[in-house]
Amino acid sequence: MAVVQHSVRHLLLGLPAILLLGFAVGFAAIDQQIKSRIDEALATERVHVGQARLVRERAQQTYVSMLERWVQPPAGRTEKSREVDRSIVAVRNAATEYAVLQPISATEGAARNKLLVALAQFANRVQAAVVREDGPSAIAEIAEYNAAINEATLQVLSIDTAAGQSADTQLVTLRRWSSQTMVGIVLTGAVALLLSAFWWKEKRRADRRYEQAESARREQEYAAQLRARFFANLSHELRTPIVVIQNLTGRLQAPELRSIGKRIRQAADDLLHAINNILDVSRLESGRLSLNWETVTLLDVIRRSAHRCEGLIGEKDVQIRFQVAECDLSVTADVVKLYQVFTNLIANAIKFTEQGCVTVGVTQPTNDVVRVEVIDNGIGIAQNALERIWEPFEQADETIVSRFGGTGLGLSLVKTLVELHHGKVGAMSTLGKGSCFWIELPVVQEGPLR
Amino acid sequence: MSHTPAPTQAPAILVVDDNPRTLEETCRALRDAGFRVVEQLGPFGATALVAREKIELAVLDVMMPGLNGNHLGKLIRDNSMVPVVYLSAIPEEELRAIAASTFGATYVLRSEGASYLIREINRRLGLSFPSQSPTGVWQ
Repeated sequence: MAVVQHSVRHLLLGLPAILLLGFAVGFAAIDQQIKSRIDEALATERVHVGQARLVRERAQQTYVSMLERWVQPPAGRTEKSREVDRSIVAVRNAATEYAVLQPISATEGAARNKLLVALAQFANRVQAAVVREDGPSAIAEIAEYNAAINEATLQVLSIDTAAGQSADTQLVTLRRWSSQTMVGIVLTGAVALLLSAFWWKEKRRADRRYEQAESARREQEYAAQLRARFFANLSHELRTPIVVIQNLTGRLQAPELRSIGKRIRQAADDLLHAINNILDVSRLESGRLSLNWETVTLLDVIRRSAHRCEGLIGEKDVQIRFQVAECDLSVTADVVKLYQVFTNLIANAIKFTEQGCVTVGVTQPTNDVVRVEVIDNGIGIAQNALERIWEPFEQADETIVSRFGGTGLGLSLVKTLVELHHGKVGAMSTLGKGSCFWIELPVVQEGPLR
Repeated sequence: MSHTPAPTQAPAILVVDDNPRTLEETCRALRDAGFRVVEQLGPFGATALVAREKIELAVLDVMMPGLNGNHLGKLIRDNSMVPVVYLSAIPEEELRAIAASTFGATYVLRSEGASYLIREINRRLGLSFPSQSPTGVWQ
């Protein structure tokens, strides 16, 4: 998700940048175009202005020459006439060149035409005067034409300079706009760069945070793995020597060793029992427990559990009995956990009974429920302790540990396990007479799976 | 079937283990109960023994290097249909899973002792060889 966000950001950043760049390039190009055309126009105007001035100058020259011709003494008249002719030619040439130029605008073209017409009239009249030699009488007309030329030239010049001026102002404005746009582009570019740098830094920071979280998670996983492996090893390392002790004690067959062997065996059994409880509670608390559900015959489970507790009886005059109403009941459970539950209850019953009987009763109070009771005639439990005993690390009273040992974990484990199986636990007792620990479990209606 | 058969008629039980001490203990306990025991240290050659000695049940340790216990169990089962009982000190959840993965196999924890092993063999073969319960109070 963060990746998508980043791409969107980059897109949002890149797009305006690209657009701006495009605009800038486009604008620069157009600006360039306009400027060159304006330069062209200016150049053209300068040419026009120059040409107009030239034309007037030559007309003026012609006029002066003509005036000089007629005040000239006869000796120099021919020379002067030729001068006038030359001037007229020069005027016509200049006029022709001028006529060829592209008009700047319609008004300019019209004004120019007027000038050209005046020039033509002027030149023709002067030429006619030279030919007819009636200069003095023609002077008034020619002076008029000259004035017309001047006026027309002025008009043309004013149009040209106006055009030139407006082109100038246009140019100045355009140049101002152009530089303003450039500034705008640079600023936007700078802002975009800053944003980009900021976002980049953000991204780097986010990446670093992600990396840190990832490495922390990996470390945690590794630590959890190590813990799990340590735990498995620990279980194995604790259980194996005890099993060796249990097995070897069976070999002490010589009569004087047999009772010693039995006592060693009992101690080993107790030790194993306590270790299993501790490991199980630890696993439950750390959430490492997982259940494997199977359907089993309840009685088989109870019998095997009872067998596992037989070693605890030792020298005591205690028997395990069964009172089973229904033999074929099945339950769905994690079988190993069920073994633990029954082993715990029966072992407790044996532990707290000096002499007598541990009875395991199986009944079916309702169709869906099976009830297993472990009844002993041991030391019993005081009424005010009956609630407490299910809590971890609780014993019925403080002297229990010194008299019987135990970690106080067994019953809390039983309660947790039974409740994990959607069952219930409870206890009843009379101090000095005995106790009844019961559990109820949901029963499977079909026949047992063998 | 409530008598102890004479040794010559006793069924042959194969015991396979890679630890000589535990192998010896198990074999001794079974022989004391009256079974005819064929012992095998390590897994190799076990399947041949099953055929040659007319084994009726195999007791297999699980953690053996070279050929893991349940593979051996599967081999024996596939070749001869002999019932298999796994015997081990590994945690019960694992042992149970291993037994479940071999058709018709059951298991006995070492902590349940030889007495339960004998009972299990009795149950599987429909016999009643004596198993020495510590107090003999088992019904």
